[in-house]
Amino acid sequence: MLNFLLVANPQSPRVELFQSVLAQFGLPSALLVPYEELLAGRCYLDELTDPDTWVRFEAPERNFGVVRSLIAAGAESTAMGTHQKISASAADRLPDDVGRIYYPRQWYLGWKRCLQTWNDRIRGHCLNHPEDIITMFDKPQCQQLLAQKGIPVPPSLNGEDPLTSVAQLRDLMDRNDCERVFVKLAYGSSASGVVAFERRGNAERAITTVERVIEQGELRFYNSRKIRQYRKPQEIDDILNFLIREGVQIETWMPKARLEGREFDLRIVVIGGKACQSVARVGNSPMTNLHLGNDRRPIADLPKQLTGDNWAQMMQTCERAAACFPRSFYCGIDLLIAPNFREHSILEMNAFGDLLQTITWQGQTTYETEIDRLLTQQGIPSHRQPTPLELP
Amino acid sequence: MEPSNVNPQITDAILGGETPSPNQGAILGGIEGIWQTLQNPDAAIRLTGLDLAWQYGDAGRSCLEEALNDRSKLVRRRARWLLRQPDPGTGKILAPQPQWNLRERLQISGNTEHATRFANRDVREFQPEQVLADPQQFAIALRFDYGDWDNPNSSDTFNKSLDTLLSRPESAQIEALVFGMWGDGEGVCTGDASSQGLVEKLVSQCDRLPNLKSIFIGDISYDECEISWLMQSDMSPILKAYPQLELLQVRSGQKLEFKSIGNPRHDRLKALVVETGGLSRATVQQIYAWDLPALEHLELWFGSEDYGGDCWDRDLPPLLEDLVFPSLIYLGLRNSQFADEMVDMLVESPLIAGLQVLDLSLGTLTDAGAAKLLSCPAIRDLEILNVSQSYLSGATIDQLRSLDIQVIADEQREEEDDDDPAYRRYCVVSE
Repeated sequence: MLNFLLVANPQSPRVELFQSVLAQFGLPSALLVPYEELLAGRCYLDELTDPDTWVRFEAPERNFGVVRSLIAAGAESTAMGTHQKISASAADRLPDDVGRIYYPRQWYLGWKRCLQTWNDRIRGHCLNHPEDIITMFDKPQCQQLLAQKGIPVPPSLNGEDPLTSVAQLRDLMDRNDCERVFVKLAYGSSASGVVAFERRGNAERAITTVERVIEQGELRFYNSRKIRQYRKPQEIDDILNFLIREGVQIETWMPKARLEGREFDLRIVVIGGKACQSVARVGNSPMTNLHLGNDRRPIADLPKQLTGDNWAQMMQTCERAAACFPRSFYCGIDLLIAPNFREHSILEMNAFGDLLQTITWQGQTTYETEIDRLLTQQGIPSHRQPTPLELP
Repeated sequence: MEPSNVNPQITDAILGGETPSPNQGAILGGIEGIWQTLQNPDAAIRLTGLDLAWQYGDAGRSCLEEALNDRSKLVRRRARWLLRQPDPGTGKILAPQPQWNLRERLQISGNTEHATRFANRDVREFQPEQVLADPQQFAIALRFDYGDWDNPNSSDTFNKSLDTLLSRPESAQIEALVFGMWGDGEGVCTGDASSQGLVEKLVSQCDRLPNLKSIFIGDISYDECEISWLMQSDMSPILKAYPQLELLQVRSGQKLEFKSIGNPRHDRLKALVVETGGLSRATVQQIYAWDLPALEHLELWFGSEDYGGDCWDRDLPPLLEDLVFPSLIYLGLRNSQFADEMVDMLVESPLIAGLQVLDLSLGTLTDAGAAKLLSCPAIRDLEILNVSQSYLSGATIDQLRSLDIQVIADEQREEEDDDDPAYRRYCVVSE
């Protein structure tokens, strides 16, 4: 029997989804520990776990109180940086301004600190180890790790020292003879703080999920589902300076293969070392994330140009990338396929990238495969109640 | 009809024509009268003769076909239209030709995608290492990709691919070519790296492509390069070097020219598609100067003033009043910021009769403009009206649908809230 402890925000739909899959396998419900309780010090993981417990951290989504607390926790971090800072008490009073990009580096520092603290108290196993989650959340570090292991990633322009201004970014692009880059908030997820930045002589443009707003004389930045294009130097400077000071991953803007005339990339979920569920995300912009209104297509729809051999190579690359995090049981990988349908590279890894609703592999959803494989790995017979066939 | 009533020749013809008897002699006599009418130096009289000829059904068909070569554009246009009108009794159409067949143009919604269809063919990317199978079946696409993986900054790969293509014996069979981003080894498709180099190459190597009928220069999506950054060049060398060309499509109006020295003419060109985010008057005037007797499909994307588009409805009379391209059956005045204004001129235009498709999509058409279209009887003779991505209400679209023609009205937009009316509505493609 497996006992799970689930650290999550109760309002996240992932909770119910995970619990229902446990029930399907005849396993007891996971003990739900809300992030809020842990952050408030109202409960401790050493009191809730034993050496047989499997701990699963879920994305700390859909709860602004948790965001406040993580930013507050980041105020205590001694890490240096040019990022915007806010005191813990002021962080606790931040108004819930939907979509606003608040103190991303300080949030990450708080998140890192908390995960480490919680990890120290866990007496059982982790599905995804907090240290791995921390690394996957740090884009420059994650991409650097992959590159060191010889896994193809887009060429990075990040240097030894972090940039501090957009002027330095322009210099960097000039020196590398590079006209098009992706600038990504180092600690963002869901395409938060991502800019496709291009320069042509004196002309520049930034295609981005970031919305720049001036309110009460203050510059504010929001995540937007509507992709915007900025051309005015002042607007571009504001956005890029903001992101650069918070920390960014800078990489060559690579072209993607196309489906139905539009660029696409893949989300692959690797579980227990094996590439399982996958979906093509067909974009209307350089950002193909599904929540931005892009279309998903089954892998079967990919053109014949993508040969079986090449596909096998790509899946192997994903599995090698996942193996860079040996303490993690699953991850979601964004894979870029080049226009020649042969070359490919890992765009991003996501410790919480295993939610791909309605996409199945061998008849199983991602959460189902996770439990199934974990049971097999632990040598426990699976008593899965087959879900009724869904009629089309 | 006052003038014709006083003209004995016309009266004779009408009398003959109105004879309901199937008596062969009587019909022949009527047709004879019509033939004479169609020789009349007065175009207005010849026009009346056409209508009579049509009433004779099959017997009048040769009159109408003959009139397709009339020296008056109005007469030609009327004859073309009549040949497509169903007989009120039998529903029969005398001569349904020519049929417009570039339906792929109705699917276009901007510049976010690469073409998957061009010239009624599937687009296939050229793979230099592979043999071209059935080259005439496909539109073969060549393009430079950013970050060519082995050599990320070399825009020279485009020219190498093109050289490879032109050196292949099977290239002689190619009928359709699509060019995406081009490069000159220094830069790609912007600044000094205009399409001129590509045009020069196509011109100097035209003997390698003896069957080329369709060319698209600039299949470049906005994420690769914005339309307003794309540098085009003079397209007239292409028209001169490829007399067999039927379809020419270009994207971007920057530096785009159709230089017209002397009396430029191209006998075969059936479709000209000019997609821009800003089309200059000068370019449009150059296009008007060309004699394109076979031109059936003309598509102009006018774009925005902010990106070099200075056309206005004042630039349309040569097209709509003087009938510089009298054979048009598809007219696309797309992606404009003066859609309502141009409707005033459209509804008065003799070009409307005889059009199968009117395409006003991607622009700023509102209910007010659509109301003017609705009040124009000739609109009912269209087969397709495309008003996608405009600013129309559901009620207006319903009214348009009641015209009993195919109305395409996808993805209507809503006016933005702005104090300045000029900033409430936009063309779809500009930057």
